[in-house]
Amino acid sequence: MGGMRKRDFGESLAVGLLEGQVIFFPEGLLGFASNRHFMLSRYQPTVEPRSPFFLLQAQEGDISFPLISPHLLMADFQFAPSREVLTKLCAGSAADLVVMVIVTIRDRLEEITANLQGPLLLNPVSKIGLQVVLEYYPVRFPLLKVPLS
Amino acid sequence: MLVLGRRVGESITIGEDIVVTVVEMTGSQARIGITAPRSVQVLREEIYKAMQEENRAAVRGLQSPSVLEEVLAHLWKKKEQV
Repeated sequence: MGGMRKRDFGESLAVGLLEGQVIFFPEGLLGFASNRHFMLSRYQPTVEPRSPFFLLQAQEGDISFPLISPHLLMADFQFAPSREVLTKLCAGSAADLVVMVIVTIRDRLEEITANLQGPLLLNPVSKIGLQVVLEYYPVRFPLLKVPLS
Repeated sequence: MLVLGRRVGESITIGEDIVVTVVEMTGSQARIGITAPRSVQVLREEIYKAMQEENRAAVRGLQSPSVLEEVLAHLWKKKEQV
């Protein structure tokens, strides 16, 4: 169970700046255009000692997304935001951003997937978020085929 | 839906700054060129819909955060068995 690098659990300073904070998504999330404000929190398990999951909860309505760092699933996960995307996020470069992907939980554990095609780019300073589309990654990347370390 | 007939090389303008051009026709397939501000996200419809559907499925999948507890239990158990 050991051996996972700390940053893989999103324990970087940048993620710390976002925890417990309300993040503004000026364009909403695809399919949820009317929700613009979401609170990011670390998922605190009650039994299991450690968790790589975060929760993104809409300020209005009963809408929550489970999130995980894509770097945990794909070591060389890459994204190259355009200047327009960086401008929308009020960010200078991709290095300023925290990236998370949405996890889709299904009835069978082996069917649980992460949406690598639609990552969320989050600016920990401006507290602005954007869901972008990376056509070269799958929408349904199996979560459990990858050992989490 | 507004339907307009266009020949190859002809365009349609949408608002002030979006232009859609028929670039090429091959049988039933059309190649479309789009000029739009970089701030406008242009996506193939099936990609847009897949993303919408996946976001909705993710919300449905998290009926309660305790579901994550089960996922974690499975993950760590699997890890210990290795």
